[in-house]
Amino acid sequence: MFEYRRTPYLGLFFAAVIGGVVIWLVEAPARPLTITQTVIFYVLSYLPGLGLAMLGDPLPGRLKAKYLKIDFYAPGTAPPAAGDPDRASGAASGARAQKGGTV
Amino acid sequence: MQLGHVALAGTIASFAPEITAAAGVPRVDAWSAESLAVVFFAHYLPNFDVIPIKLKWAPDRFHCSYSHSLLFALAVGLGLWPFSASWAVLATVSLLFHLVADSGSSVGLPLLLPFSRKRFSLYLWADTGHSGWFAFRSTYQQAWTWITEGGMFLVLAARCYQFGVWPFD
Repeated sequence: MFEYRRTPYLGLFFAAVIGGVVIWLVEAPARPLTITQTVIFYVLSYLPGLGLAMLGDPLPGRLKAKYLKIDFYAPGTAPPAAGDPDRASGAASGARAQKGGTV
Repeated sequence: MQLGHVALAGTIASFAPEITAAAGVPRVDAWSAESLAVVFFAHYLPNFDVIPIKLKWAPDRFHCSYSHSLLFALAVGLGLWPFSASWAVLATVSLLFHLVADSGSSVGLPLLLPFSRKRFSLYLWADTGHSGWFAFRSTYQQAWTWITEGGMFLVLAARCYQFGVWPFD
């Protein structure tokens, strides 16, 4: 899932930043978060934090580029083997949205 | 978007009083059985287009077609209006947010169907099919799905804290 070993650890850093900002925004002074609740926010912050870290990892970007070349809705297109999008039989550059515009 | 729809629907249901008040229709309480039922059903309604596909009544391309158009959202709202104006408003808002949530997918949304087949996409992640393990797994191999869906769960957690709901009670 990652090419760099640092990616999940970088996600921890981003999670700390995101979690800190979210807690700063939502925490009411009259109702401070408990340790457990803070940990829950931190754990949930890891989800977008990991995503941010993945932006700097080449593998997710490569996978996205490969998947974009496959039309998964073409008749008879079998899903590729796990982690091997090259085995899909869909037409190249067939992503449907490429026929239309973007916003 | 896959699992993130759950968080988004839950978040919309938490805003039910504000949404209904802004529309000037009878108020619906946040996270009441009514708001949860209407919002979750309407939010997932566009993805029910997978059912005819699974039953072999429609081709795979039927996914993300008419059910993901603005006219569909409007039609559902108008259809519910005679029964409950609040349900109509909540359902329309939920459907519109489903479209917003799916706008990052490369499959593109035919928002203007049946008037135009043009598809709109932000291309944040590559669409890898409408269902199945491969579609699920490959979606979460991409960065933006984690950012958007994870962000939605974080927003839902913030709403739980604001309402004092478990585990923030």
